Amino acid sequence: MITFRLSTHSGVPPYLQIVQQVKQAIRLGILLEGDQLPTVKEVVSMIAINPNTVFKAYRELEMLGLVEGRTGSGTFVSGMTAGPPPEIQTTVESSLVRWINEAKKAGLDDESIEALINSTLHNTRRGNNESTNTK
Amino acid sequence: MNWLAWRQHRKQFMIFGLILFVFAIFTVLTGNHYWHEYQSTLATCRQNPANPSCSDIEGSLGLSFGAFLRVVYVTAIGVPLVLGLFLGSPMFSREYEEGTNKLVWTQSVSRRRWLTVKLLWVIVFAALYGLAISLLASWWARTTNSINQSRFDTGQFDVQGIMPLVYSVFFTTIGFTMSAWFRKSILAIGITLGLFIVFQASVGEWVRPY
Amino acid sequence: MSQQTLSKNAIETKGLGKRYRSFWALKDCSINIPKGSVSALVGPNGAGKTTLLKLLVSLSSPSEGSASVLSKPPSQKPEYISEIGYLAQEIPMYSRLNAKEHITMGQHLNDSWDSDLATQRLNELSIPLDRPIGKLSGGQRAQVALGLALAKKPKLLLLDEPVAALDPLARVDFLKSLARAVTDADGELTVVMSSHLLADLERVCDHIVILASGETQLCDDIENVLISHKLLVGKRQDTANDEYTIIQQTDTPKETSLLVRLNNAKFHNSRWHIRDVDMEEIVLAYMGQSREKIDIKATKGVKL
Repeated sequence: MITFRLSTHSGVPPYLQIVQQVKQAIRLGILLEGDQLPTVKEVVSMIAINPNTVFKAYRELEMLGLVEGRTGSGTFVSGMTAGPPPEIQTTVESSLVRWINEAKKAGLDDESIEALINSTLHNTRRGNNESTNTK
Repeated sequence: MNWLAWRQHRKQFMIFGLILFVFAIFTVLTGNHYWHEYQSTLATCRQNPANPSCSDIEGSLGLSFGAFLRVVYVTAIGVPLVLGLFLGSPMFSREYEEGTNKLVWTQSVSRRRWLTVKLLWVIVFAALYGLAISLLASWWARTTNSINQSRFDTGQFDVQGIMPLVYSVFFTTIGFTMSAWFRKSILAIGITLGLFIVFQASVGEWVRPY
Repeated sequence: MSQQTLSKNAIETKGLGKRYRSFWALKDCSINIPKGSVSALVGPNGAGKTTLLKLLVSLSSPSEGSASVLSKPPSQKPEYISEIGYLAQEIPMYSRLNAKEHITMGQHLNDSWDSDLATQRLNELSIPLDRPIGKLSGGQRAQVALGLALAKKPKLLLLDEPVAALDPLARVDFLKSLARAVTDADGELTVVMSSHLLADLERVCDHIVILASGETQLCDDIENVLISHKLLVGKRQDTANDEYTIIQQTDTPKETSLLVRLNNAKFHNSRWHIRDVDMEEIVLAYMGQSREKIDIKATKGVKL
């Protein structure tokens, strides 16, 4: 059974920490298809957290297609994803290597490269959220 | 609320009960002794009036029992005062000082009920206490009364009859009310003490001449 | 306000204030606390948190304004008090009585009271029921007090700095117990918990009220607060803009950074780099803002 941890100083909102930890557990094989996620009550007993936060996290995971809620029974890991198939990963990786070499040639050091990746990632996420919010 | 009043203050009630018990034992033992001494002296003097100690029976007895006399009188007057100070005052003052009033006032009992129940417990207890003391003191003083045949010297008037009872109730209530008002034990105790002194002095001055 | 209308707010106050002689401990407080929420009431010492909570539970009466708690105005009547669980600061209890006797006391003084629930909770936490409260640790005391408050089956829980004096482990245990109670109540329990430490409250609270110097700075759902507040960083420049309200401004010779409350979450401006902020930064900004107001007032000679 998965145990959750909550960090109040990480800057990541609690519900997102739960989402991330479930994703990680699935990726690492700690949670397998059909496994039940801890009930809201169990999570609250593990870590001091607002029950609505757990609801929110589980809803988010459901929207991502990672889990499914069965009324009366609980929330279960649905038959999905340990990540993209290895071939796609290799393709993405090689284009990343090309890009890094380009960036280095343009004069960016390691730190600038990391900062650029993070902020662009953040902005694209915000852009996605905004486009979904306008619905 | 009754349960709480008892449970909260049962130690004080029991201590005063103990004091009363000790006082009762003391009174009974010495009172009996005193009375028997008196009777035997009377008997001796009837037989032998020329005996020097018979012209002043009280004096001869007084020399032997003067100390006991003082103890009884002081206790009988002093205890109601102490009752007022140390039973009445802490009933409220301690609650405010420790903040437990915030605990009890946020249970579903109205403040009036809380106040009334506490007050009644104290007054009833004080009344019974006063009654017991006055009965014991009166019984004890039968010897002195037979000798003196007077009941209206200031000291004696306090002790006999219902005066201890009145004192008891009066001062307990005063101490109680003061602590509720001022919310500070020391202040309440000081005021109660002050009032007692004033009362003693003024009653002694005014009422007694009549 | 009709008392029949079921408000979706557990607490609504309008211009609530309390004055002690010439000093306003709380002024013009207008807040709404949604039913079922767990609210953090934060602010520095002396901000008016204790005063507000005391007014809501009728341990104190207001100098101005009004309040509606569970659709009723505050009163000292048992019917009002029985729906509210209250933990006073420093958690006063009868130190010579033990937990079991406190539970008995509750039974005698309350109409709706669940002794078994209280006893069970304390047993689960391994808290000895027969030891005098004065001999329990701070964390255990807090748990007993919480148990007593919950045994009333209240609809509202008002807690005044319950975890202030507790060590970190006891703090988490307390918050866990509180979170469990909220879960079990299934939306029927509203909690308002005051503290001047924010970090622990973030995990359990979903609503926040910020008080400083007796005045309300902010009252909103935490989610909304995080969405609407941002840090804008840019070159030193003119900051006037009607798309946001500046909460805190920091200027260096070359750079300006503003912590703002946006009017529209989709704010975008090429002059500014926009970054998210966490609750602690936001709270500090609001508290700092009020302190600045006081400094300005003082230097201008305005009487507070």
